[in-house]
Amino acid sequence: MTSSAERLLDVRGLTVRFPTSDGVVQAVSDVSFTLSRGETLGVVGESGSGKSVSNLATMGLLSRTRTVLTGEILFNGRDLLTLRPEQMREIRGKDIAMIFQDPFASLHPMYRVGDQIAEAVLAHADIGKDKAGQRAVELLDQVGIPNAKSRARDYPHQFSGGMRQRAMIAMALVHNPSVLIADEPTTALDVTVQAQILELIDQVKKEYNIGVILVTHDLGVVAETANSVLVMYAGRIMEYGPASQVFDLPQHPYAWGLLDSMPTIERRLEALVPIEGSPPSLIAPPSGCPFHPRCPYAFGPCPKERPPLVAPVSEAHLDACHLPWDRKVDLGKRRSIERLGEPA
Amino acid sequence: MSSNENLVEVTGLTKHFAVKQGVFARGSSVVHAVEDVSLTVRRGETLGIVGESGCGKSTTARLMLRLLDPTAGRIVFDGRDVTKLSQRQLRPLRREMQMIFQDPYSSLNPRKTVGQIVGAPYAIHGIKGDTRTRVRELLERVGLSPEHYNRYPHEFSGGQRQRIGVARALALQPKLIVCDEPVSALDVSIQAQVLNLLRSLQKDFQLTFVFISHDLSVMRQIADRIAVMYLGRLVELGPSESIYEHPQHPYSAALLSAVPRPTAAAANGRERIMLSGDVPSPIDPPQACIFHTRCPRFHAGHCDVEAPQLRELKPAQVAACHYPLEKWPMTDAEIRQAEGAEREDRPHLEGAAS
Repeated sequence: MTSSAERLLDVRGLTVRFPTSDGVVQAVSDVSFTLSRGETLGVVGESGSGKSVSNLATMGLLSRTRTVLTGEILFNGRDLLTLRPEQMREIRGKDIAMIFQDPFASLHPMYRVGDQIAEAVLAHADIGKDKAGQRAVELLDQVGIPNAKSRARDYPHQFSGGMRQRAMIAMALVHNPSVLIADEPTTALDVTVQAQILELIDQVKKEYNIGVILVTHDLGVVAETANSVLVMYAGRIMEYGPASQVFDLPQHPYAWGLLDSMPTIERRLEALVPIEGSPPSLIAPPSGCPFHPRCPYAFGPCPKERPPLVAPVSEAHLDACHLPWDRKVDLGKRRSIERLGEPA
Repeated sequence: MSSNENLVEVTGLTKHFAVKQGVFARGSSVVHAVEDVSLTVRRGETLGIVGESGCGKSTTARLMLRLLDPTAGRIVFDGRDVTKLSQRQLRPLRREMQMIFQDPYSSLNPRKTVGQIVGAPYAIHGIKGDTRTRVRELLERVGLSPEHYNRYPHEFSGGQRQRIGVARALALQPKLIVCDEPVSALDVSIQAQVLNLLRSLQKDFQLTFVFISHDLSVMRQIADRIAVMYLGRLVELGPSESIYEHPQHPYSAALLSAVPRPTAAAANGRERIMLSGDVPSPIDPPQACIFHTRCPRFHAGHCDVEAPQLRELKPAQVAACHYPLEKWPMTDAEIRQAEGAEREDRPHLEGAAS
């Protein structure tokens, strides 16, 4: 979010629509954000909030015939949405790399891990096969696979879940990308291995000085690793700002709901505070603020007008909510007292 | 130990699975899924079983329900030894024990209506009478509408489906419900709804839960006592508060410290205990202390030679460790500095223990 760091991605008004036989799915609506070098942007939201789709759009992985894409995704000044498929192919996997939730499904079961990484090397570099193989071993070593040289000859099933995700990270790093998109990279992993992988991603970010987009439903993961946070609901941005501010002084009732419904490990709560109801259909999303049917503070304008994304106090900390600021301060205070007790 | 207080008592529970190795399946070896687990489940409590995938937590629960046959050990349910009962003899007891599954999509038959699914236990156990009304009441109790009776599972969201699974488990008014990762597949906002539901049902129906989860935050909200398992063995067992506030086993501590905290304030100043590598194979588990290959407090010549027994280290809290933690929280460095501990490597820079 700082202007001094080199800006890598500038997404403006991204909108994704999937026409289906049941109607048009409004997967992502008017989403704007930026990503700079050295920044980790955490994208959080429940299933169907559009967090993955917006990243697939950035990767150019949405079918152009079945999707309607509008807005701009500026990468190094070029709008990715206007590129021809072969131009996009030059960037994808080279400058912008991605790792996915399920590292087993992302690796081909019948090829050796090393060969698959070497293949990624050869996709964008004109070097010999042997050299590519060497590079694969180097990368495996770098992401912490012991005995990389012999492990490169293993098949994916011989790797544990954590090692497979390491191999995927190695593959993503092949061409020194400037952006790494990690879509739920630790969801399929055990908590002790999750800690290892998050640390590795952070280490890679610093070493390669890249920008990371971390998509997850786990607010804890974001709180620990992200510099800035994008909270999405029903395809729209609800709140966007520096991680410290979003977690310590969340401004949007949906963010409050998400944080409050999370079971805490710190102590046993009398009762958990769920967000009532369930996420809306994206074919016919609610009018006005998409969160209003589940929002305990919804009032007059909420069902009628869509709240704009504005910064009520701090310029960098945006939210889309009709509640007046003093009311939010009041509610936010009460909320934190309910959850954390009276300030000492 | 009066059997009145305990609904389930298992002693020396062991389950080995034979697996074939190699393409031509000549040699066979044994997966030590559950090894010598003894614990009790008290009436009306929630016993949580935590551990990483493959630690045997689900297998243990399934053994308790006799959905699997134990290799060794004894299972007493409600004062009755059920270890050797035949499936037919078990039938009447099945009414007393039910299960809620992780995946609300695959655990409901897509071709049956909600009414048929929730009413199935009545049909199976030959219970006559006005089951229709009872099913409607159950649906209402779990937060669904009685009008949902004739709908099909695909018409419901994940959270609603899990409620259907809960209603089905409640139908026969069981004494014990095993909840196997019941909220893991749900979004956070919905998780809280289902957890609150389970808590209130437990109060209203005096249910006993065995709650399996890999999520320690969820566990804290629901469990009264917690069993920590690692590679098929029980490594620590005790009251929930005590385990969270004073974990004794380094593995429990590592699990606790690995959980990402949702507020910056909670995360600040807390150091993660990084475990080296991955969980070893249960086909060839480490000798002596099962955890010694990853333990930051490893003492060569002791931990890899002599298996630690479960012993009481805090009131009602037992752990199997030669070098339990003196205090908590402890930093990574402090743990490693335990007198003579020998694992100095920075394991997060490695992959599996080689």
